[in-house]
Amino acid sequence: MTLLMSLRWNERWTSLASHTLLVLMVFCFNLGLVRFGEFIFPAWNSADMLLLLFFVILEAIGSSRLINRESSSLTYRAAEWVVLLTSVKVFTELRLGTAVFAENLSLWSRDFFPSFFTPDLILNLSMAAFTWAVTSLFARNLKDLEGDEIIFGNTGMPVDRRAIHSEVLNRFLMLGLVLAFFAGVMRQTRFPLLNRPPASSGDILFVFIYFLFGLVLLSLTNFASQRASWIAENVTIRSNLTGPWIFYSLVFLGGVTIVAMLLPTRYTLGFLDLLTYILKSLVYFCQLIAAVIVYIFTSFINLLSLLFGKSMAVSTNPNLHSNPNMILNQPQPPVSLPSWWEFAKSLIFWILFTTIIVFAFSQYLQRSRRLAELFLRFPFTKWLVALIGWLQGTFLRGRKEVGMAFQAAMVRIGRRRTPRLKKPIENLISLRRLTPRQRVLFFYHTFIRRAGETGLPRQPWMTPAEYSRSLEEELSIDGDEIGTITDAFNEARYTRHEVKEELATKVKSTWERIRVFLRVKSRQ
Amino acid sequence: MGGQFIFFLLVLLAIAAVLKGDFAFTILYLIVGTCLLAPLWNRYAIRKLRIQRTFEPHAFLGEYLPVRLQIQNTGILPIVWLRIRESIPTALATFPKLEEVLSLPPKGQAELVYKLHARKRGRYAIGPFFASSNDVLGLSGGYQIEGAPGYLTVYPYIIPLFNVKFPSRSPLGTLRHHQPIFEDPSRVLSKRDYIAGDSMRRVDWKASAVVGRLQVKQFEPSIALETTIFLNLNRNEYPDQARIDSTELAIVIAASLANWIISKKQSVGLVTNGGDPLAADTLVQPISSRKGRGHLMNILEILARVQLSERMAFTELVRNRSAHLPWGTTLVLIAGQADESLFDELFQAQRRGQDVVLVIAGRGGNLQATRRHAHYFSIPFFAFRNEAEVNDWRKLE
Repeated sequence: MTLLMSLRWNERWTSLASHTLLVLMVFCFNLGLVRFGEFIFPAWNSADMLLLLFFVILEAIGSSRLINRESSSLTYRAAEWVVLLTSVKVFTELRLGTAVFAENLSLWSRDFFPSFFTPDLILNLSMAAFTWAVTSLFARNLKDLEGDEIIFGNTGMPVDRRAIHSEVLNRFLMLGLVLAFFAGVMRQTRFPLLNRPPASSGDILFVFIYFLFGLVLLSLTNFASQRASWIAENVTIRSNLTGPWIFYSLVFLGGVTIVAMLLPTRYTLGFLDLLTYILKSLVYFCQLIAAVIVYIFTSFINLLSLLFGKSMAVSTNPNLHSNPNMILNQPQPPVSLPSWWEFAKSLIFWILFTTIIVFAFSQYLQRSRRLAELFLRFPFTKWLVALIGWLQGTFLRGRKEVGMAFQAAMVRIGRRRTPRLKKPIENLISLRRLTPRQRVLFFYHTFIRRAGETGLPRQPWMTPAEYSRSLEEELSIDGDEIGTITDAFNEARYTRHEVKEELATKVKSTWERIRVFLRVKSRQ
Repeated sequence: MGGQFIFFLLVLLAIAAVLKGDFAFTILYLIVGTCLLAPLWNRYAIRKLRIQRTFEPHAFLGEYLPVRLQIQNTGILPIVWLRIRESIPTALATFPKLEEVLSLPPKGQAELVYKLHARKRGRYAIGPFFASSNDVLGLSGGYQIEGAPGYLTVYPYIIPLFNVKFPSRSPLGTLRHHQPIFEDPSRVLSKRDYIAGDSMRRVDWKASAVVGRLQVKQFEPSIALETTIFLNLNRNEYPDQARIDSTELAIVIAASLANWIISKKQSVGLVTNGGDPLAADTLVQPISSRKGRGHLMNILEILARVQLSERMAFTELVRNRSAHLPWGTTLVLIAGQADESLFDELFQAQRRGQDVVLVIAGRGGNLQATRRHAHYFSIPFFAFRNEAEVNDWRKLE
């Protein structure tokens, strides 16, 4: 696939996916809008309204894609609005039946404005207009994000896609706030005049779906923005990038949405109550440990007293008996404690809430450096920053030191183990599996064994050097083979530095020479 | 972007506070979770990236060399997009640049293959490569990792030589020689009848028994060509206008001669005052005379990466190094020009029993005067202005 085809492929699929997500996102918003309309205006006939708004979304996208922004004449827009108005009117009237529509039609000639612009039509039209405007704005943004070939061929003025991505983000967040407001109002129980039951959690599921689709759409606009910079820098883009991008975005954001929906949003324990409860639990736990230690200690004292011939009467001392209770000052469990699940939910809630606050502050300070500098001028802030730095440094140092100590301990353990052979040396079959140190030890042990079999056993009181001297006298070897193997053994057994492969090889060849002498000696 | 999110979070908190809408916290979790987890995902994924570059580290001039970049995601999280950029030396590149964006699934891998064209001798750094990525929403600044470069050595151009005649005083070699003083007892040329004065050692007793009269072996004369190439790469000893061409030609001649000598199963060494980018003191360490293809590769590797230097004059180099070379060694001096002080050193070398050959590469100096001097000292002299002229040595005898 050529570079151009790859560009086209990526752009086409991104565009298709983005528009699909836009339709779904605005549809979710419309769902909230209609529900909110139903909540505020109970008398409003909202039947099939979503269907009408769905077509409005499609029309807005279609118009945005078909006409050029520069050539979008007022005539086209006026015509478009006349068509929309008529469609909404026909839709509004036909819902009531053809007979009513025909009757209302006859009224238009007499008194047009009041009979045409009914409250139902105005409300429907408002919703359709809002939907149309929102969709058009998004669709225009999405259209501006296209044109990879223009950037590639350098045939026109490329648009700033990063700014467009930012615009889409702004609009998405603003609409999200509006939707959140709608959902918040619908969940209220303090509008008794409306006489409407508050919406359940299931009823406002569309809010979360809106955010899910919106975030995936944002990821695609980010992709378009990235693509523009890659193309401008002549970076080759593989054709199969769009599929994974959409899939992984959906999976990731879907996963985050599900987790977010499962997390607690209420708390039964206030923040300070929670802290008090945690502190009390910690104190209780410490006291429990202290009680166990005191119990073990008193038991030990009692046993000692038995040794000195005293009876266990001490234990019957009423004072001592009552002392533990007095000393330990057993804490009373908090009154009306919540269940563990409520406690866990509250704990998670407050942890998340604190995280969000800290995150928001850190982001804010990171992005406005001047404010951060100003903030750091205050003595308290300086002290706070120094404290955080000290804590961070201590933690990092501690972690490093613990890690080093652990590593050193592991090395020491390893060193202790290395010279020792787990199995008896004689049973080892493969010399190749042994380390050079183990091989040196193996050959020396074999040497001692064979020397013992020859009639020159090593006495238990002999050091390797003494044994070496006695053998040299007995065997009368010209070279210093016995000295070599003994020195090698001493090095392998009593030093910690690495034993080299050459030494093991040397010991092997030395042992082979000694073996000849031992064989001769045994024949004698 | 962060500012927009912060404003959104503040307003959302206000809505949650006023309307007591606990669902707002779910949206908060979603937004903050996305903002926190997306960069974390990206950071984890890029840390689990393993990139390996494989290529043949040596190439001859004119060769096309495939380079493979194997990119592997060893983590369990996918890398949505990964931008790979490989730095390639322009002297070797066959395309403008190598930069590609791809996606890697969990435990997935991809491969980028490109070709290098060995156009010029030298030691080139292939890479480093840069791999960068960011999260799907572009919330963080992105992460980048840098890989270590690999090194490619392009050997200098080697002209296959056939018709080179170098003097040597070392007997018992493998090269045939016209002087019978260099007879090799392992190479029997023919047999003849014994004449008075012949050494009894030369009598072939078996042949004498067959023929019925004494037969004497005649040996083929041969020499060993113990050669050390002295290559002048002092920047100041080449004329400015032809410095690059002349030095490159000198290197080509040195490489071609080394190749020829090794092909004759003789030993060759190399001494140069050029700079070595790998050596600590920036001067190339002298290579002593040895035989074999492996040794030739060592010499070629040095000649591939050697650079011009100003640290030592050529005369000084010859004086310092030739004194340590054994009797009978042939010194092949390749330089851009030769002055009287150099001829003095060459004369001293001749007195020590070393043979000297002088090769002038490029268009520098007074060739006539040099030729006269060489003739005066009985030094074989060659001058090559370009590679085409070196072809004279290519001609078969």
